[in-house]
Amino acid sequence: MAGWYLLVAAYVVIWAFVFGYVIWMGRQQAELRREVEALRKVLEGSHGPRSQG
Amino acid sequence: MIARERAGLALAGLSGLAMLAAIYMALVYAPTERTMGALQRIFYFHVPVAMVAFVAFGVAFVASIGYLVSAEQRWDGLAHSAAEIGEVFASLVLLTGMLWARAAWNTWWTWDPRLTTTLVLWLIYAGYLMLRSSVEDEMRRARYAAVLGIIGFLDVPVVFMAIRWWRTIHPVVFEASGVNLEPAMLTAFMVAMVAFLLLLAALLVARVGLESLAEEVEFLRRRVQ
Repeated sequence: MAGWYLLVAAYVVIWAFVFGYVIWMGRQQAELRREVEALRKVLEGSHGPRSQG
Repeated sequence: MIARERAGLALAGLSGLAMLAAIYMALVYAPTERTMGALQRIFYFHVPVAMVAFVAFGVAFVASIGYLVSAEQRWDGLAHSAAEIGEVFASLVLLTGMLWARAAWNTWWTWDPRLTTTLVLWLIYAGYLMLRSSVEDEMRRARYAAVLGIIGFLDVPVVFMAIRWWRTIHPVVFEASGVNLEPAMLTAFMVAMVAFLLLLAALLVARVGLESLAEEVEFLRRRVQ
């Protein structure tokens, strides 16, 4: 019985780490994408009037 | 969708399917071991996780050499990604090993050569990641990390050989004379090995994509300033 308990614990630990890492990467990606969009908008805003004027 | 994202999704799908097969093989297909019983089934994930950590550190080692030779940023990004993923798997090796040790040796931890060298390996790459976050200059950070990525990898063969070089209580499954496993157990192990290698490839593609995105942010920030 203790064997099963530790076996389940090992599998839970493995998947908790793997999914935790994947979720962390997903959040980082979303944050970086938002930052890229924001910086592009800033660049477009600063270059726009100059090219028109 | 760019080619890297498509490759990442394909690898993630493949690794997911392979992982389901690996879980089935480990929990149902493989026979129950006589002395350890169900607990021995940790083996089908504990050993592939260790192997995948070694492969990831090997990728970091090659990429570190690539960076020192070429000074190209993409090598540094690959080394960073591989080292970080290797550290995740090395953490899993230690944790699953402790759970196994609790039942097999009646202790969570013992200063056995295999366990000790694995802990040293984990500490080396924890140091590698700390070094990366503590040096601000991009070039210096990449250079220092590359040197540590090369030196750190020297512990991998030591971990692998520890159970052959020194007296140890850790079991030896793969010997020069052959593999100490039943054919069905070996098949289950091989399926798990393939599943974890696919998972490593999928994580590596995703993590390298994250590095490229971070580089793009840096580039745009410089332009804005």
